[in-house]
Amino acid sequence: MNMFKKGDFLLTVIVIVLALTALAFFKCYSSNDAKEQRIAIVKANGNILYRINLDNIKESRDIALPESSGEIIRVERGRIRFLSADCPDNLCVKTGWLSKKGDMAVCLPNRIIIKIEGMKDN
Amino acid sequence: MISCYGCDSIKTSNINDFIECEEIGMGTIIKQRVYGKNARTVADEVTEALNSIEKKLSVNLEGSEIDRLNKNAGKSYVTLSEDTCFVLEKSLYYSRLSDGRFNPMVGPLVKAWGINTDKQRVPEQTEIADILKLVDVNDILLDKKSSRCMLAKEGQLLDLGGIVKGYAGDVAAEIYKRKGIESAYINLGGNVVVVGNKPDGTPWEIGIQDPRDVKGSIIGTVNITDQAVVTSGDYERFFEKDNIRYHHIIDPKTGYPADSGLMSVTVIMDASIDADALSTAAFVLGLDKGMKLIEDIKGAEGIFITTDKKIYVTVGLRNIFNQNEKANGYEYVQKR
Repeated sequence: MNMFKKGDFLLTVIVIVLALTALAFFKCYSSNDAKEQRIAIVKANGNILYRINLDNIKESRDIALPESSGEIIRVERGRIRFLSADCPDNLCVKTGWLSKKGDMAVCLPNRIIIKIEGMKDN
Repeated sequence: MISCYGCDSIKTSNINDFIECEEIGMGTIIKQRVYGKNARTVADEVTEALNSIEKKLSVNLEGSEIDRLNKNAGKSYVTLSEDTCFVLEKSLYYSRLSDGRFNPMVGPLVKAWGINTDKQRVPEQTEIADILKLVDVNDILLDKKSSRCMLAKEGQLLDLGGIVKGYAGDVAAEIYKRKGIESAYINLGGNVVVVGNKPDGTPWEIGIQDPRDVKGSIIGTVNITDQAVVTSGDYERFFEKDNIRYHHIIDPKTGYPADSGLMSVTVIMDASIDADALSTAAFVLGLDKGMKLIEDIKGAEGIFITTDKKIYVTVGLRNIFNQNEKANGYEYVQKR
């Protein structure tokens, strides 16, 4: 009789602990997910051409920008960059990969900005 | 031309809602951070105002007032708007104050060097000698009463590039204040203006860029409230040929990029139009004359970084300039 009660009690405790753990895990995971969402914006001449959720990218892909020749942007899971450009000093390409919130690359002569929305952590 | 539809709207608490914007304009990147409930509309209004300034004052935009003035050089008078007259008169004032080191008539030199284009080149010495005959500010014939202006000789070109971002910064600050914004920051390619303090009441902390680090690390900071911080440097626009760096700050007396022993000058003042003109003038003048120019002006302070990586500051900044401990080989020197 005692054993049975103990078993019950133990089972109940285990279930509660598991439930709480699952809840905590779920909460933590989903709010982290929302915080980590990196949205890259591509603007040309002040107009937004693309708004890309980098964390949803499954396969890497290249985008050729329609407004200027020679400008290619590469998008991969979690990061984005100018791949090639026809501007003289290629500073935009040299900036490299953008992967954190607040990261930005600019092609001044072609008036194109790529930025990951949000603020840098100082 | 520039629009603000891509602004990030960041909500923290009611007091600290702010807008962050980057746009391309005036040949550079313009960043705004504006705090307040009406931040988005104000940031848009600033963007529009800057657009309008560029349309009037740009030397490169066809149909701008400056473009019409230049196309009529040696031929006829052109009517200028109030904004343009204001900026022109400030240019003339600083030209005289700096004994010609700041000079809005450098247009033909800028053109010969191909600055701001992809055709940068080293002009022949004979070419420069000829062009130097066209850079006299006394050839700006300005009739203030009628707001009409003419450049005396054909081939002369007015170029307000050394002061127009400074003017734009002040226009932005005026809009922020008029709209009741108490905390705002705008950076036009190195021309920084702030309104008030940050929302937490502490001054804005502005970084001074390391002139030799391509990644843009800083060698120190200054804390400012309601002021402008403008830097002119040899690292902003330059090209290299045969291992020599040719930067964009032309000495109007020699016709060549200023070789004054400085890598950058930062000027801090209430109005960014003044700081902009002075930072250019002080860069051309060099450390000793440049420091003297800044120290003689009430309300102006400066930071000078020499080619041998020494940092000098004017007296008023001695307790305000914070050197970055990790500064890469830079030595702070206390003058006098």
